[in-house]
Amino acid sequence: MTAEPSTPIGRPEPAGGGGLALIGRLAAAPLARLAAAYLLLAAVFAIAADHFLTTDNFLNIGRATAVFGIAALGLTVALIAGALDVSFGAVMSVCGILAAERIAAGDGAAAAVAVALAVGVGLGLVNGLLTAVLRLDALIVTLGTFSIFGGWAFLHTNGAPTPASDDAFARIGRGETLGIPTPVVIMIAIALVLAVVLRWTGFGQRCYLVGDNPRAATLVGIRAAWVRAAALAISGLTAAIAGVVMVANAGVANAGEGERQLLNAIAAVVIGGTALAGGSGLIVGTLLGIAVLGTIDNGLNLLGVSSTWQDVLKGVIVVFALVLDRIRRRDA
Amino acid sequence: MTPLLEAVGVVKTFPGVRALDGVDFELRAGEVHALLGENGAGKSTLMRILAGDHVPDAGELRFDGRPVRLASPADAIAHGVRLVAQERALVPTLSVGENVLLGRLPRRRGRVDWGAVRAQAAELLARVGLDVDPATELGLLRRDEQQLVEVAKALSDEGRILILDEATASLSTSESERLFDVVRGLRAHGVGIVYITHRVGELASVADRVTVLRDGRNVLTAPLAETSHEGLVEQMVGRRLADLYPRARPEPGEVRLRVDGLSADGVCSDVSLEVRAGEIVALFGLVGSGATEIPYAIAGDVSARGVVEVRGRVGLVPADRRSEGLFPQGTVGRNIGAATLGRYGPAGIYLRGRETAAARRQIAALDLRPPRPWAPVAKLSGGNQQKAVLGRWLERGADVLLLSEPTRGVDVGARAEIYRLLGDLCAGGRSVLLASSDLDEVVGLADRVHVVSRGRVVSVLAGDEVRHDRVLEVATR
Amino acid sequence: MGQDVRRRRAAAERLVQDLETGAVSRRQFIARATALGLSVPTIAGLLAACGDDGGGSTAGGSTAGGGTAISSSGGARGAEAVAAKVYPDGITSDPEYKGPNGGSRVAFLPPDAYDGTDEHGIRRWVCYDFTADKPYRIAFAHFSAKWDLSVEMAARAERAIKAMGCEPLIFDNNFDADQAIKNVDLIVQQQADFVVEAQIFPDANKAIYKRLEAAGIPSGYFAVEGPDGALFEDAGNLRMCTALGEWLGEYARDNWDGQVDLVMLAAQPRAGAYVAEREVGYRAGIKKVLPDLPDSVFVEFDSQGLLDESQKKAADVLTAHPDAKTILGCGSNDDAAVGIVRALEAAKRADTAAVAGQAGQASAVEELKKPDSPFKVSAFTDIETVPWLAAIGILELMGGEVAPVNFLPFYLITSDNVGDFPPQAGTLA
Repeated sequence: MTAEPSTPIGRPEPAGGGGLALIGRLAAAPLARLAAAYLLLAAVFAIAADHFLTTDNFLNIGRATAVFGIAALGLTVALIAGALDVSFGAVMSVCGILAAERIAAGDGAAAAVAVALAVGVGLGLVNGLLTAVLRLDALIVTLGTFSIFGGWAFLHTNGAPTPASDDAFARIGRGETLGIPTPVVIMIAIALVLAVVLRWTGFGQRCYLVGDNPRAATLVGIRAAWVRAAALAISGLTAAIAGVVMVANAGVANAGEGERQLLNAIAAVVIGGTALAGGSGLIVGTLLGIAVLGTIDNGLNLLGVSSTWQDVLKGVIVVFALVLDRIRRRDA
Repeated sequence: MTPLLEAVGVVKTFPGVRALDGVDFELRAGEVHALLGENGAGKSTLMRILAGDHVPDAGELRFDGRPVRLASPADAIAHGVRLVAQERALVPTLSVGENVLLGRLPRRRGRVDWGAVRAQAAELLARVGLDVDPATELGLLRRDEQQLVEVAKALSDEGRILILDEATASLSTSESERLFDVVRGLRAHGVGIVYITHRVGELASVADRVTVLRDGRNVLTAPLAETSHEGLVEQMVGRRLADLYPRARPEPGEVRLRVDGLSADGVCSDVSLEVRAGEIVALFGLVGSGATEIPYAIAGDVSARGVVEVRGRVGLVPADRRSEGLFPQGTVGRNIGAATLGRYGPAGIYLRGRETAAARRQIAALDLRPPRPWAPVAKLSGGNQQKAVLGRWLERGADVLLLSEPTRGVDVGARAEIYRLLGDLCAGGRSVLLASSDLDEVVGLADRVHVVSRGRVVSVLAGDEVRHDRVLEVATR
Repeated sequence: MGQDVRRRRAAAERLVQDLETGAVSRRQFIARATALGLSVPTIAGLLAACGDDGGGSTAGGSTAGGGTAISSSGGARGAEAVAAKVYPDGITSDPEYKGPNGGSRVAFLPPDAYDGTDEHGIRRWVCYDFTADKPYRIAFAHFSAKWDLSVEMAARAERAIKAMGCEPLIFDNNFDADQAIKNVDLIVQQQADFVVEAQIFPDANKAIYKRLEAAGIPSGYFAVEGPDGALFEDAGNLRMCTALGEWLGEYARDNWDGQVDLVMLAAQPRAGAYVAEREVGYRAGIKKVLPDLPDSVFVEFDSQGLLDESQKKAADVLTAHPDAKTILGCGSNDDAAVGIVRALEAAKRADTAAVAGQAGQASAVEELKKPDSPFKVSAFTDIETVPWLAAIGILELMGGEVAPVNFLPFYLITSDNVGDFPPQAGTLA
């Protein structure tokens, strides 16, 4: 995995054990570097901005990032399996709207969430099936379905907002669980589940193999297309959850809302060190990527920097992360 | 006489590798100087330095006795160096004439002068002995003709030094012969030619002198007449040839793999063969014969008709390690465990500890280096990568190993190890089907050779008939 | 209030019908209309529309020589209301009359005009047979087919244009300046006689105006201003948000003794100068009521007009002002305002806060319905009148007038009357 230290072949492994050697190894690990960069960033803001280092502020960061963060987690799995899913924003919109419609019809929060999640998985599987059957790159397929799903959301609602006022439903987006905003709890729970799936299940390992080299995976008997389809279904599921949280927070569902989360979510995954070409990446990396994006926004807001500059800075960081991805792959 | 080109004490280091370690090389006008060496010996690096693609860390290049610094390929071209690289630099959709003169098409009043293109291209083509209309689309030419176009292109202006890199790699014997004619013709014109190859056999027909590189050093420079085939190979390999291939093998046991009338569109037709326990059976064919694709058909990777009976498990070691065999971002452990993920825990659970333990077993059995399951596989040498792929199937418990070009891009040391390993595996009762276009390894290893041509088995050779000349004769018939 | 409006509207409609059929005399009509609260110019317009029976006096800017009249009242430039214009074609009181191309004599009344007496509102009547000269082609390029309100606006414009006996050309600007400019090329190609542009990029409006001017086609602009000299229709950001600011200021005065610790302005700096007038209006309105409020309590941030963006930024503003207790929030639109509300709720500081938005978006209506929400007030632009006002603009332009700015009526929505003002989507669907 990317976090593994590397030693050039033909040289003896550095004698293990010593504290310095450990630090050296950590410094070589991209994730450790990212974590260090994050701490540095946080330290700068802690010094520069008055109310940065408060519990409430970090809860704010969590609340501000949860929606795109949840989507980014599933996207990480899809991307590790070599499927760059760009349709998830539209899936968010569709599932959010469907949930709001269930609420508006008086079906209650549980039914609304169930419908949204089922449809999210379904749309993810549609992506997976099209990728498998048409033997196309997931990016191409999901670019198409992005337009189809997103367009359907507009056609279905006629562009009109769908109100979703239900107290139980609203708590998903605005409530607190154990003193922590519920969206953040959901994000962390999903992160834990997906991290376990990737690290401790055969399916998770197959995602890495398929993303790394689909041809080789096929030759060792892995059904690469189905692994990808399942990974895309996971991406669809998290997009649906993100859509539900988004609508529950807003209290109203609008077509086109989810699509706006696209760049942030992809940026979080890329900053987190998941290879764009697939085959490597970690959930904890994406969490760090989410934290980096959220903290930059938050810190600059506290410092009163204009949002245009924030966009520019985030763009620079994403390009930087892509360059690192490129260098890492060239080294490999 | 001042040499045309001299390289003195050239050193080039890449991160983690010293590719050239004080190499001397000299090229005279009107000679063909062969540069021999195994993969990784430093041939390509030296070639790139001569072509201005790499700048040496130390050492000196001299043209006509004067020290020169080549900072870019353009500098090298200015000094008359022309490189015919292994990777074709031709555009298949353009005409032959355009390809030959690409980048310097003759112009008149700002427009391409097609008459002049035709005339100049025809002259250059004549020089390399190629009789085709310059207006023909390049893609319609045969491989050897394209290779000659490449040479003609290199000669399209004042080239004094021609570097041919593995020029015959994709050519048949007769096609190669034609290229040699051209090379001899150029030599007569006073062009100095660096002829890079790892095929010792073809040197006799073309080379005047030979330099052998091994591990970044030149171990021998001598007139070809003073060397022997075996001696050159041993210099390249750094050991005695007899040690390369394992010898003692037990009596074959029961039939493990039986293929009957196997046909797959575009790959093979009506292939039948048997491999017994403890046997190495080879499928040999020249490049393009389809031999190396037959293992894929047997493994069910391409849809095929016919009967395949296997006693035990099959493991396929694909030809192109990079694109088909390895998981390049993975560790050694992941590469070894890839085919057996289901075994590392109950009910879909995966426990890395178990994979690591399995990897350690295979690393020990295969003497894979470095012996660390968590080493990134991409940093391994070709031979050790191949061991990881083999280890994957051994871990899976494969009884029948289907290998396609198992030593392509593997340096000689590791090659010998892989051969030994295959010998050991057979001694342990496994069966090996080896599909290869490397005559040496087929002859050195196989109990039986199925010679393949155009997807069909044209002959089966066994026992005393498994000889270089015999196999080649059948294959080229 | 809403009940009342509807009742009065029904009464006005009956009255107009009676006038048309001759059931009431002009004199009786004027008396009853005045009692209903209709403005003088409106009454004059109605009389003009329903024909001159030759008896009695006519009020205000009424018709002469049987010509068509338009009249108006109110508007920010209010009092100097446009005088009635006389157009060449004759007027008939025959409601069944069809022009040569099927157009009726047009008498537009905004079908859902809530109240003719709103101090900011204007009421106009157009009576003109557009088919008499030639069947004009009138192009309406609306914001985007992805916006329900815009779709409805386009449908109404199409109906109105057809009712005038003109040929409608409807275009979708798709929230995209390039698309809007491409549409102009089509409009020119299809030889429209007049164009109404509704799109959100001020610079694009200038380009559009130039192209149309070069092609000799007059044009009018809705919501985002065109260049000087072009007809412009809108509720008026400054006007509307000043009213909202006053409302907030009064709320603070009545509930917090005028003590305000923080005013959050969820702005949209990237939407151009015209939209930026909303924050100017909010500030002016609040200061009008609370003149002693220091500038330092005003904090403006870029919400992009989006709920989640506004929420994130507002949350950070609240973090940066931990001691602010009484808080006013001003949304560039309702979504931005709801974003402020969400941030206040998350920070548990919603109890001493009041938030205003504008547009009457669904998110705002949901919030206004909640008794304990800090979302207190929104403003609802009466877009029903858009095509109707556009038609007036056309007439004015054809009459050689300098194009005016026409301010549309708007209404403040609070928890008291939110039941009468369903979200625009609901009303228009």
